[in-house]
Amino acid sequence: MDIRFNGKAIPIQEGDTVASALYRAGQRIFTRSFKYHRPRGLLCCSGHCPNCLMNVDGIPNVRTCITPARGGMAVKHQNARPSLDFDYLAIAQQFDWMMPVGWYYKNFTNPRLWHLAESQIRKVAGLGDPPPPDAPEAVYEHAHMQAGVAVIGGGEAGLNAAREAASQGERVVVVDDQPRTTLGDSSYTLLSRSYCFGLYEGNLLGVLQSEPHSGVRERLVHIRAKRIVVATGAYEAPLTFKNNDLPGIMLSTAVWRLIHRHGIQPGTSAVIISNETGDSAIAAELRNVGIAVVATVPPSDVLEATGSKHVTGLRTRRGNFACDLVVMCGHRIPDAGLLSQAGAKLEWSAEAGAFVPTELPPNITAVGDVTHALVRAASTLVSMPNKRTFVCFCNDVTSQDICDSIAEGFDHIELLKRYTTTTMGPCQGRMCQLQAIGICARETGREIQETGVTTSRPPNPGVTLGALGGARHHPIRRTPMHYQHEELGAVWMDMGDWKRPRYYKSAQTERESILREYNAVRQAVGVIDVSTLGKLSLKGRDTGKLLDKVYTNRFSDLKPGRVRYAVLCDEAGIILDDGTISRKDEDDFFITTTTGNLEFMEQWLEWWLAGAGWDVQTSNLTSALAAVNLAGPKARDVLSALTNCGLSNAEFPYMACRNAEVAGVPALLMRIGFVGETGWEIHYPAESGEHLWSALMDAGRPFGICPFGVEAQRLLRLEKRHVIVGVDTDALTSPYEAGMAWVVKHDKDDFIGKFALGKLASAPAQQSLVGFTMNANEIPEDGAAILVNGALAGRVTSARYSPAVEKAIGLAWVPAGAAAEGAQIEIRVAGAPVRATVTQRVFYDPDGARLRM
Amino acid sequence: MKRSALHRWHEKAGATLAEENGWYVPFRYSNAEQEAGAVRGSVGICDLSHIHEPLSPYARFLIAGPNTRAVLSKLTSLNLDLTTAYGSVAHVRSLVTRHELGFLVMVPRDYAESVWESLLDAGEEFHITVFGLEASRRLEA
Repeated sequence: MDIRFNGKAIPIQEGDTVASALYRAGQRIFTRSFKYHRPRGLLCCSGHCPNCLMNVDGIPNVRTCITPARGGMAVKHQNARPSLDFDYLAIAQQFDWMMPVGWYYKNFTNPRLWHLAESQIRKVAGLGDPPPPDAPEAVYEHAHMQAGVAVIGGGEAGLNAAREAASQGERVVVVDDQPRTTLGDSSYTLLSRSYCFGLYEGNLLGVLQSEPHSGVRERLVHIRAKRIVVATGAYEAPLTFKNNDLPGIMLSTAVWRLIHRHGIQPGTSAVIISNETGDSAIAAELRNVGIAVVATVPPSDVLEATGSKHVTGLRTRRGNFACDLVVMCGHRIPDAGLLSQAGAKLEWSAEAGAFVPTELPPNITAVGDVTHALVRAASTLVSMPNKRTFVCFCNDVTSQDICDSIAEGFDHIELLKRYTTTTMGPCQGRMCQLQAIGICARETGREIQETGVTTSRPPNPGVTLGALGGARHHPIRRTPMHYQHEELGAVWMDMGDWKRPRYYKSAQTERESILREYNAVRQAVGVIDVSTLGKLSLKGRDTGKLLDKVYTNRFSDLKPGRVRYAVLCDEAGIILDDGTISRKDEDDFFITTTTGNLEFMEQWLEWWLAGAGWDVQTSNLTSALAAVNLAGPKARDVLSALTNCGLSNAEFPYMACRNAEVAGVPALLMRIGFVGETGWEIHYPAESGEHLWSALMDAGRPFGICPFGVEAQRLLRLEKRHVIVGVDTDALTSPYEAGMAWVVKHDKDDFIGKFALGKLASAPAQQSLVGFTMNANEIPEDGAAILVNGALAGRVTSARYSPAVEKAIGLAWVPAGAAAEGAQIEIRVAGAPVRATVTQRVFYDPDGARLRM
Repeated sequence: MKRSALHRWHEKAGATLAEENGWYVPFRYSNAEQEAGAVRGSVGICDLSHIHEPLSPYARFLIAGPNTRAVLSKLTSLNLDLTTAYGSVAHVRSLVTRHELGFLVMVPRDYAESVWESLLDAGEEFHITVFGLEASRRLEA
């Protein structure tokens, strides 16, 4: 079994991580550093430091030291050109004098200069590249769990806590980063290969699990736990001395892992840096695998490491030693980030040489090494200012940089962090925080406790955006006739979550198809699915009162069996929604709302009903009802074949409504005319959606019925100059500006917006919504600019070629001065101004004769 | 005959549709005994939209089997220890209630197919099955 590293086959063994396989194959440089492009090799082997980040299967910044190697994986280095071993950008090191700490802030004070430099800097600095847009998509998913006790960390202390809680009958979840199983212990649930990246309000834990099952890259698990046990242990952080970042200088835990987990001998002759005198445990480990231990020196005696691409020796006060491995017995630091996020205090313990958690909040406990019980200080914090002593490996911040920043006045630990970016890289402070605090304390003459610790914030470690996004479950709403539209050749458009036929492909081109639908409605009969309309039933004796209160026109006087157009405004007189209101019976109303406004409308009505003590029951029937609009001069012929309901003008006049059976289905019929022809809107139970649609298509065939989509509907209504709220109006439109003064009834009692509308009625409008006809043959786009004397003065809201006018027509917002009948305006079409003539007249059948045929 | 919001889905899946109280109902997809066995062994979903009030805006699914919670927990943060919970399932407002065989999920019927597909997708790792009315009766027996 192989993985491919930059195209080359690298053999892998059982239990290998990507990094261990590469190391065994002889790779020593794993990354190039962020700023200076210095060679970096394995340092922690625990997924903490930034030194092994690579691109794995197209995903950047993968911690290869904890990523299990799998046959066929494609691994690539990042941030080095052309290769890790020879990176010409390493020249940056020679120019470090040009890049002092805070050089962005110092040098790029001129925005123009910054824009020039930015693209170059981005090429040189940074961390990998995002996957290209056409990269195959990895699969992610989410999961949610409730637990009595969540244990973070599956070490000995964590598992003991888990078993104890389980024995008390708690539902226990253990989060562990290792790829192991519960080994038959089923008293708790184990999330293996998982890490907890954050602890949020209400004991919510964010957990990221790698490859929860085949085919899924990562799963983000939300765990809500009554009690949380933090058993995250302690980790080791590097020591600081000159050239401490050379490949071959490793933490003792990393060396231990390479030897024990992966059977790798990480060198031939080693120097150990440790405070322990005598023969240390790690020295014995090294000798066991045949590594010569050249010397053990205390951290305070170390002067510098030597070597260019790999360590070749260590200069110390006790002499110079040649070696190919330097083992740092570094600071042991309690991994207390989650505790700190939970609200625990971190207090400096000189004995432990670390900040340790105290004052744990209720329902949070800590067990094991994270409590600092067994942690002892590894060394004093000694790093003197030096340009090659690295404190922050992620962002290439040296001890010199930190001292310079403090000298410049950034001497508060939080300021220091932001100015130098120490602790802000992928390790999130794990490798560097203690050193930065130590230097800050020494340079400012303060105690470490007083200097304090920077705030730990989730996510830590980082989380991929794919995991946060989760599975691709975009909800889709389909009308009951969805598949019939599909069979008829629907070309779909999205409206919120809804799918609606934009048009049906019946001819070569879109334009011809839409024209065919248009002609059917104007000359014969057409049918459109309007199930997406919001539909509300309002019952009760005070319904008329409620409608009078919330709508601008009057409804208490609407007679049973009649329909009225309705506009709704807010307190400022701004149009919020429109629709129709049918009075089915004395105390039984049926309201339609625009497709996107239903939920708002439902809440708005509930809001004004609350506490009023009125007898009104509302129910939302949007999903329960299908609806179609049958329209055209032959609509009556088609419908009469399916119903016993009288459809003549005398029996069923324009703006009337009736309950009747259509094709055996109980329905509400409303004779209304959005598209400008005789027609009926039919609302009926969704489970009969397909049945009634089929019946209409069958009955309509002899009359040339044609299903029509949103595009034809928009053209038909535009010729009738019917406004679409939200398309032709915006968040500032009043009925007066929109040319709908007639919908406001000032002579009724108080209603929402009455005061503001009273003012607006008498104030001259600044802008007006007008119709226009193009003087020549151009067709402007929706949203095109209106120009008056060459200056931007308004916009087109809707424009289409009108077969009735034989020119493009539209609706547009223009300054009040340009709104007069016949006024000439200019519209920008394809970049050039073209002339159009303003009209307030309806483009098609202005008297509405066809609606009453 | 009335059709559930998933009627076309059932047809495409090769379901045997039968009449039940004026509704087309998926009776079985392949073999009722196998369907019931798959549910007992892991998890399955069944369309019960025909059991509802007149003029209901909801579709109704039964999700049953030992892996029911594992599947639902991938699509909702609702606390499944409650007998009734109202909230988002697969990004759709839903009502989830406990049922003797598992959970009933009620969603607005125009979202039915979308949520149904999400359940199948989330259940893939458990080899989720669809089951018909016949299998659901066997399970209840």
